[in-house]
Amino acid sequence: MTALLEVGDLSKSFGGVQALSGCSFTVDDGAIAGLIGPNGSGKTTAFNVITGYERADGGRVLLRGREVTGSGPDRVCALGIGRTFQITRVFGRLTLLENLRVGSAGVPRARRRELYGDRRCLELLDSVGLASLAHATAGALSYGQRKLLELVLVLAQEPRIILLDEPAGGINPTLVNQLGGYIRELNKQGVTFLVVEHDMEFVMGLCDVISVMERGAVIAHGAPEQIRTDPRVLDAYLGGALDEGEPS
Amino acid sequence: MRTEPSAASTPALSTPALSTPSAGGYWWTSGLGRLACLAVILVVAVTFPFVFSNPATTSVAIFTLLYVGAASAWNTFSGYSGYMALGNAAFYGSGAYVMANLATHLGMSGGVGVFALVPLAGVGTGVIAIPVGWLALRTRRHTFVVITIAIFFIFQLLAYNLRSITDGSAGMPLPVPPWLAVAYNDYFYMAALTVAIIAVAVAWAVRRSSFGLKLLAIRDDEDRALGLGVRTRRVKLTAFVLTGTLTGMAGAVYAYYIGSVYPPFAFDALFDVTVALMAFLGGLGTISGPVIGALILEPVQQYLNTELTDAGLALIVFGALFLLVIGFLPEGIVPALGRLLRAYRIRRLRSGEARESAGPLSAGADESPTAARSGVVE
Repeated sequence: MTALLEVGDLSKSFGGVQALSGCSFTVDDGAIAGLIGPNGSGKTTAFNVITGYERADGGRVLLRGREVTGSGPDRVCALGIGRTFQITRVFGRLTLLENLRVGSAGVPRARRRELYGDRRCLELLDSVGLASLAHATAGALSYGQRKLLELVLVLAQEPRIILLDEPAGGINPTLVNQLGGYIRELNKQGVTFLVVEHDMEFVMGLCDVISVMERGAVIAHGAPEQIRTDPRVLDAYLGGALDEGEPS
Repeated sequence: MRTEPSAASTPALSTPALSTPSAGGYWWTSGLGRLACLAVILVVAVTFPFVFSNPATTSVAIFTLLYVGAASAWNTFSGYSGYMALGNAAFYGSGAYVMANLATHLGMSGGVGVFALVPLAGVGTGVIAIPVGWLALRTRRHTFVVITIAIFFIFQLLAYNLRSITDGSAGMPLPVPPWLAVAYNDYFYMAALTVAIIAVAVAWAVRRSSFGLKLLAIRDDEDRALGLGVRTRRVKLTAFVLTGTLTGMAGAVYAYYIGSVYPPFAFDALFDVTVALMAFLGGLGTISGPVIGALILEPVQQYLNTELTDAGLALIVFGALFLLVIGFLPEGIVPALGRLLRAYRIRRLRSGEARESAGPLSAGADESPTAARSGVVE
């Protein structure tokens, strides 16, 4: 496998707080990669820097060898990096179909007709069971449904890689399983994922490879089984068992 | 002009027999029905000054139409994007002064030809709006509101002090049209109507376009829109300049009609608030909302100004009226009416005609969630 996303030596500080210091990792093409770490270890900041919402103080981000560093969110999106948010963000007063169509701004003009045709939009909504609500406003959706809609908004653009910020946060176990199923399914179709998640069981079951962050840097990288037993990782999580406090 | 809203809405209340609720719409919601309504409104609007030819009436109508244009223009940026601009008088005044300058420097004498300068004044105002928007749109929410107010006052001060362009407080004259008193207002009425139609047509076209969808996405969650690839800065600035251009055109017609431009009248703080109030009253982000808001508020304002000799008293009554509206119709007339109508239809469906149990459900899914909250009802 070749590296799709390369994050090299990112640093970022907010006032006196060093959120990222020398954060480096790569995501291989076709992988489902996980990014875990204790609260405040810099996972979301890493996401924000990669997707252009925050400007890095140093370091670089490459997508398939192409410089992404310093681009704004709109440009990052156009380059092929999609993301969802920890707190789900959709357009509450627009219909589901309109929500989808907002994303047509992020794809090349030549592909708009193909990616945002009526039929494809409905198929996409149908794939997560939202087709019957296509003309409802997104504000009327439940939290779980919004999560699914947000995923579909990103999927519609056919990005090379999708960054999911806590996809399993705040939704019921059934929907978590369903979501995991979607992600695996899409991965089989060739979509690469990078997932930040607190639910250890979910991450360990879903990801092929996991990077562990602590104090703004990646301290361990490997397959879930390796990570589970890595002493540095156990240490980072307050010296306890990795799934301490997580229902299993 | 006050007959327009009723012309459009009376059928809604008086002819339920014509409705076909099972198909999910009344006759006037179909394409042809809408076209017919528009045609009726247009005929009423065009013939109005010939039916009510009293100059006092047509004068009110002219101002009303200018406000229809200005409120629609305000809505095209602020209503759709959620960026509440409270300084649009800067563009109204700029349009007036650009018009006065063009007419003076081109040495034009009064006549229909002067109206040809209106689009030019609009473009000139649009050019002025570019740096204004570039600056103001670096901020968001409350800061943006305050910045637009500040920019308005800067423009007013400039009008007093840039004497080489504005002649300061002495004001600038415009060419005097040679028309007879009987027909005098008709020319301005048609010009104001044209500006109003253009502004409403632009609002409609923007709402239907992907550009309009981007503005609405910005209103709901600007950063999310940015992350989906919407170039929010460009979209906002384009809409802002569009609004400036249209407002400038209204200001240009105003200047020619009044015959002279003075800083406090061209750049009037009351205008800033009024256009926003009109859009709020009718329904923010809807196409017909600002039109209805202007059709109600401007005649009331004009009436109060003439009937209550104390100008301050008129303002107080006006303000009280507005508080009542905010208290009882916070979302505006158009969305409230739309909701009433839907509730009425669902009730009708549930009683009597609800033979198949799926009926009300499908109608509900079809209509209400879409339009109820989105502010997309026309």
